[in-house]
Amino acid sequence: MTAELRPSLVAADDGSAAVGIDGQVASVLDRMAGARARPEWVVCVRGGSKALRRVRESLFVVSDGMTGTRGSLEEDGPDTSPGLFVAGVFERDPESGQSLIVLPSWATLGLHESLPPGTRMLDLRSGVLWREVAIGGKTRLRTARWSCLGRPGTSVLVAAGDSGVLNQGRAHEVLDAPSTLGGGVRGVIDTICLDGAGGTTGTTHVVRTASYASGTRRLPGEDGLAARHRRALSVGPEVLFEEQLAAWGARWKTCDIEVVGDPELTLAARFALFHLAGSVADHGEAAVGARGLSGPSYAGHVFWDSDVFVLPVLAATHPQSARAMLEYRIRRLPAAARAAAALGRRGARFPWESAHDGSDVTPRAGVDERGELVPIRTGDLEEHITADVAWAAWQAAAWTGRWTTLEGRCRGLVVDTARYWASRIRTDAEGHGHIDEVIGPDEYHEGVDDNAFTNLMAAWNLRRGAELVERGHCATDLAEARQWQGLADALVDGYDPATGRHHQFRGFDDLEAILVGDLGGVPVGADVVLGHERVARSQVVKQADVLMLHHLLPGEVPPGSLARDMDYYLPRTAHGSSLSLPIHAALLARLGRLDEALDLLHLAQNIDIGDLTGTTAAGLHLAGLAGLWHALVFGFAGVRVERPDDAALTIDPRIPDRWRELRVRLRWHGRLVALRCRADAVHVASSGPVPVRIGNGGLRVVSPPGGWVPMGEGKATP
Amino acid sequence: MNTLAGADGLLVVPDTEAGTWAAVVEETGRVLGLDPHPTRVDGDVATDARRVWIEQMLAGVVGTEGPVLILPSTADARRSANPDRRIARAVIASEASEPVIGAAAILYRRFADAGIPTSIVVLLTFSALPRIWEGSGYHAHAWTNELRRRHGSAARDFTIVTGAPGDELQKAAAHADVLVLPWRHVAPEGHARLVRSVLGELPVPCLLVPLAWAQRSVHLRTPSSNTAGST
Repeated sequence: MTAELRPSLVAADDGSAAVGIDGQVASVLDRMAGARARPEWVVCVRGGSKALRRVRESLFVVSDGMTGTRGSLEEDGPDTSPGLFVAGVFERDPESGQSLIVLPSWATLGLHESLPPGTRMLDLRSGVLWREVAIGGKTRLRTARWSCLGRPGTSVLVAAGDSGVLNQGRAHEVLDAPSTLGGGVRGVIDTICLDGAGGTTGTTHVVRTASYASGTRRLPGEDGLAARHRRALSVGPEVLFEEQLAAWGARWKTCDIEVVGDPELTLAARFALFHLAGSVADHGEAAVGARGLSGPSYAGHVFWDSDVFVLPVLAATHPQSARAMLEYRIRRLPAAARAAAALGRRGARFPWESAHDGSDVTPRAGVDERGELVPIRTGDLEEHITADVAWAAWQAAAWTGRWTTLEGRCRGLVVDTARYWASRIRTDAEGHGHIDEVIGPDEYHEGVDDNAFTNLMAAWNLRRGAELVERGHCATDLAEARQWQGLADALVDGYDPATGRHHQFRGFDDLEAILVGDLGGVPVGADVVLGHERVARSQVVKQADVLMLHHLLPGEVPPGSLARDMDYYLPRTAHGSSLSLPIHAALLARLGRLDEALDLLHLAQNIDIGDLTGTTAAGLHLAGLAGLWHALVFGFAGVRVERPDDAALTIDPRIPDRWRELRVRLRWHGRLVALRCRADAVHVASSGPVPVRIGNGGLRVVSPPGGWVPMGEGKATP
Repeated sequence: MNTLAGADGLLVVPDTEAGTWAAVVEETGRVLGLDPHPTRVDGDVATDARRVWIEQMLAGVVGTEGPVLILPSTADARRSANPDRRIARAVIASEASEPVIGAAAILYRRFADAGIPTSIVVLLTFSALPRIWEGSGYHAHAWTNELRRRHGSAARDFTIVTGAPGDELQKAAAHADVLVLPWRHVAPEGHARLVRSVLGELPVPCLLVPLAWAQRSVHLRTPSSNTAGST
């Protein structure tokens, strides 16, 4: 894509639009300066490390669910990676087949002289990125930018600077970026400038307003975009700023997390929620790539990260966005059906990597740490994605409490996927079901048979598909549903009653016994340290695999097996994925092993903020960010939501001594619920009567204004 | 040792070889913006006692602040593929740690500005891997791409190697006329293992550049490419 912003005839503005903007710009900038007083809401950086500039561009992305703008300095040049990402708009790409379109950044300013980065601050509460450059005690430049959460596709940059510094004139620019896959993006940007040269203050004020429209099938019309853009221009930056405060204020009311006693963790949780909220649209379809709208890595492809990690966060905090994510999968059911048919199967088989049209866009080769090509087999073998999609649909319904979520076009996500598994399972002479040659979440081991995670997810998918059929929500033959139940029961699950734990796959215990502690510390890139072949012959696990089962399907595993599986697999897990740390933290918390849980949680909260992967420059690890929420909500708060007909919201906290309280806001069955979790009690407040079960206690209905509920007698057995 | 510690500019050791490598010495001085100072180090660089000489030399250079150009012994130099004794190609050794990357990027720019084709070889050790390594494919691609960019966006001739560092540098030096080694300026036994290993058998001159000096060198005069003597 070589789309560029083109100067156009200046819109019908004779300069009168600039009248009064100095006051509006100054008002916004002054109010943002005060945000520094709220350290648990701001990510602040002073000065500039050249090496970290691209990392900060990712950390400082501002987004609105439709567009994401990297947090580059306004004057950034060739050493940087500025850019704009538009959700769901892909283009043909020789390297990755289909990749998320990358457009030039609108958040730019011309400067007369080179300036240091100064102080930059991303205020999570308002979604505004603020900057101040002071030299010799004198402020030379201040800027603030945001993407309007309440007006997706509209973004604003305001700036005030020395007339000798700012070199920005009035401008009207347009962008037409048709995609080679159909559809594309249109944009229009207006710059209004009030030149202070010769004035009493010598300060120049600038407002850049950008509007974008996109389509996945056809390029959007110019008229609709122009009308929306005119409305944004007509209200002006100060009103748009007020709207932004209100929109984010409303969003935080339904999703905020606070760890009282750990301000850094609170900030990390809010940082995660901020970027999750900004990465997912809440209407239409939402294709949520592995890096969201923050960077080009992973080509914007949609993985299980989206279904299993990101979707639950949104289902619990902003259900409209979860629904848009399901819509993305629903619209690609026909492609999944074609993929199944191409393999001689029935039903729907979702691709490991998906983009524009739902075809499999997983590359067949990639580079290793030396830049040498190695084969990639996940596209052929990492089939659990099909059950993951079904799990996500069920999860969305469980949070809303509505079976209707699973009706209509959404049914296929559970029923057609069940039908795929029914045609995928091999039944042996003794009547046992097997799934041969797959890759589980642990990608160090390829082409394994009877991976416990894949088999149990498939069995769960078959049972839920059968349940939907039997509930009469689907016209499928009931005989087929009974067959699915039978297959689910027959499928081997890897559980060994003698040891009380699961075998990750057939033959796992026969592999070379290597513990990650012997490889020089955890996490560790075991595939590099041991080499790809040896790690494949060893018991070293890349990320939670058997343990991921305990996280996703806690009701489907034998009681007591979590502790046994944790004892066995944790010392074998390299955490070679940003997804691994938070899930282990969650499960360790469930087990009451809080010190270990906190150690991993501390790493998890720094995956992007501390650039622990060395790749944050290319975008944020959206699923890792979501994992932090999983750890806090499912792990430490012990929130458990399994079915649309759950009789109560289950809360069973494990609160470390060093925290005074864990506060969580979420939506359950249409109610806004605010929890304050302590070691011995939970305060529940909600927008209406809400049935809860705290610890092992009985069911209680809490009505507004809410109150403290003591923990039940004893605690639930993990 | 005192003679080393007292000198300014680009130290060149041993002084006895400076004439043989006059063009390389001059060129290196121009690249760094420093005047070369051939300097004596006690001991015989060309005998079996070379390792003793290296220890004496290292003990001396830690007392200096600037770079040191270490010339090979005549015997080692015979193995060099550079009969003209000029710099047609330089190799900069780097690693995946921030201070070394910064120094390597600065040095790369200086050689490039002087018009000398230059490669960067990153010696990847396990301890230098990022804390979380997500594997081949997208992660490795994004990581190597960022590593390359941190070395300077112009660093196109860029290789990552994972073998024994000393062996890898010997291999890389076989295709170069000077090996540039940013170092932490700490020489006691247990440190600078790579420096010792490379200097033991190096067929081409080795430029040791302290990290702190490299950072400061951005303020020194930059070389112009129109005087580049290499071909």
